[in-house]
Amino acid sequence: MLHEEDEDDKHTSEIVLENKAIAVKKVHISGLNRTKADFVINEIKPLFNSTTFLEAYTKAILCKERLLAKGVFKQVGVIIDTIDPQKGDDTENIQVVFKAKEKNVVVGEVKTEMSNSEKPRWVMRILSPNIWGRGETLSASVSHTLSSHTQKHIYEPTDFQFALNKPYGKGNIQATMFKEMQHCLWSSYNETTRGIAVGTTFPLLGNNHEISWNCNWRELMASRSSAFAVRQQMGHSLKSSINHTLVVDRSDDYILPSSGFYFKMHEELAGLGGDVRFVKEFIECHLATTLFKRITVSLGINCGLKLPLGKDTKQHINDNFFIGGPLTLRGFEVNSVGKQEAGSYLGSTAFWVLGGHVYTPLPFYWSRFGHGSWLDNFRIHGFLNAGNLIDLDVKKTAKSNVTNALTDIRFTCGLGLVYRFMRSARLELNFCFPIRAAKTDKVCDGIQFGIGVSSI
Amino acid sequence: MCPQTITFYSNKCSKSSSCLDLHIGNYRIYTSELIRQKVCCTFCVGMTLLQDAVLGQMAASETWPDDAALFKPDQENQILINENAASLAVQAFLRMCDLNIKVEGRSNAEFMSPSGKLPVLLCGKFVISEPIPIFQFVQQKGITLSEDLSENDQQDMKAYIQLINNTLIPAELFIMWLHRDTLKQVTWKRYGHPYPWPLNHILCFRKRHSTISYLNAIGWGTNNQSLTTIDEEVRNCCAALSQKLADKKYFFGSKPTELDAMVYGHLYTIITTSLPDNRLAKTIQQFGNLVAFCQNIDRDFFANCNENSEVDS
Repeated sequence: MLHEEDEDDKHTSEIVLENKAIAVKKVHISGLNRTKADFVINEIKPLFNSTTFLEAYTKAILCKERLLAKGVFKQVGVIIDTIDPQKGDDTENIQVVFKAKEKNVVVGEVKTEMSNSEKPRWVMRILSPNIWGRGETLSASVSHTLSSHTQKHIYEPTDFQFALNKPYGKGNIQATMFKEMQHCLWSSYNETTRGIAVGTTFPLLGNNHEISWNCNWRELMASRSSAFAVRQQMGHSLKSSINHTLVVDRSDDYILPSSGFYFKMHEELAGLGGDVRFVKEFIECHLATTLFKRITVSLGINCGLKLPLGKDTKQHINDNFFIGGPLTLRGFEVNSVGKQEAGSYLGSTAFWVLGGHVYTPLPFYWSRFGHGSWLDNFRIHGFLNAGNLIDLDVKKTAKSNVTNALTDIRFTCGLGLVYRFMRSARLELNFCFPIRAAKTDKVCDGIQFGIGVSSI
Repeated sequence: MCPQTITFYSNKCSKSSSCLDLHIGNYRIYTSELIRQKVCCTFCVGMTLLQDAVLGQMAASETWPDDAALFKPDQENQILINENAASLAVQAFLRMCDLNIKVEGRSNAEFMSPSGKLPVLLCGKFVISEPIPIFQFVQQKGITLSEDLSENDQQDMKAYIQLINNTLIPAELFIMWLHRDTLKQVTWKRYGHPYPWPLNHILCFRKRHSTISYLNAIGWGTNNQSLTTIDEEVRNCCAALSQKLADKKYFFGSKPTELDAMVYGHLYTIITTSLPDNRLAKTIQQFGNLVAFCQNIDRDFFANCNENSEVDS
């Protein structure tokens, strides 16, 4: 590539390539078997505007990255070569050849990943990454969430998902069909969700938006130990909802940011068909800053609110908010805070959780911190969590609701070790001291281990 | 007649009754075969022996709470014959025992039930479903209608209750889920009533599927039975009941028992429900003493509260 060029030139004379005026006359992509040309042509167009060799070189590398980002190529090689100049033309003419290698027609994978319920699961997936030549992905996967309370064997899948994904411009259109089982031990019921979803993600003014329509058939099944308050909500319901998510991400990392802020808001309007009607709002916000290149201070808030729509509409326990757990309100068992009946937690219609952290590198590692070693992923942190569940009452004044939100606040503080695993999950081992808890809460005094993606 | 110590173990995942195991000592027999042979015995689905014992201990210590409630599907738009029959039998039984109960219609009553069957009784901390377990539960509280009966009569009573379970319930299920006109005009609309489209059709389809596999397992599928043969079975059952009742007020003399509650629940429901094919009702109406018996119980136990029970639901 560049080296070849260098060597070629050495034979004749020393030429400074950097500022040499050139014109890109030809760009060629080889290896497009199934991929349609119009799908990749926009990605390589900027090359033609190059005027110097250096510019052409950096643009070629950029184009290579963009081609790889399309997700249809296994690898892309770049060759920059000269072509014979035409008569009466002073500038050097060059051509750029991209040697692309497409992914296989069908790709399979088996892996473990984190599920929504913060439990690991194994996933077996078959996908076709480029089905009609324009980056359309069709995938089918089966998975099993590892939990001790399933009646099925570990090798029997409990969930499945079919998904079709089509890129357009800078956005994406997805259609999915899925079945998912969840064991809500904190409320002692099981939920099976079957659903379809159609949505699109697109960037707008530098932020990511997602708009989708979800139609979920939810089947709630009581277990032997279900309290009656939970049992009387069992049965089938159909939720048809419009969802919007806005993500403003100005941080350098989602799991362990050292600076910047992250803001996410999610709105859900349920009630377009189906028998579940509510409006739901969820906000997640993180702020982080690093002092003395070593000590990171971060602050986060999560809050959410659900309002029923219409009079006497049936509200379901699985739409409620729950707080508590090793990565949110530490020092409490998972989702075991607030109202309960016979050990089954009932959740609430509004909540807020605050988290403040001070992260430092591992002791005896301060001098070597930040040089890219795997030990950089470890931090010691001190944290303070506060939170509350509120049963919002629209009929009362805003003031009484706010007072309600500020009474019986749960507090925890503690110390612990954080590990960022492969930049995709977060492991925490904490020693928690719950400072204030209600009688109904399940407190975890002492060591608590957590694994998951999002945290506060 | 089998002894009383037989208990059925129900598999939670079971869709058809062939998964139900019957334990008698060290022997294990599949129920479907058993029911086919029409062996009469008491049973209690959804409760194991151990649970039974624990429940008995705990239940006995508490008195009947004021807020006890009975849940059944919505009376107006949803309830099906077999569900109504079971609910009415339990209501009649509780009234015969002079126990206060609040009857509530819930569209998801079926899913509140631990066994998936109706009705559902909430009594203090206990949630019990289906008539026979409810009878046993009340008995464990020391309230019973059949304690005065002789050993022989008690066995008789159990046998007749079993006859109802083995004849009238499958007959009701057959007409609701396998008779084309009833299915189309009544069952499909009523069972799917609380749900929005397309859930109503999906759930009806699922329920029909599981009911058919149950009926096939006990030999009451369309292969073996038609409405005519069902009618014949019901006639035989009614003939047996009519003969037992003769001209007495109740089946075992002057005091009502669990059997009276069961017979009333089923027969009254079948007589008073109008279906596209009213053959079963007509068959029952041929037995004058049974019809009079139903009217009797209706007058004695439901006369002053009829309005209440209607309003409740």
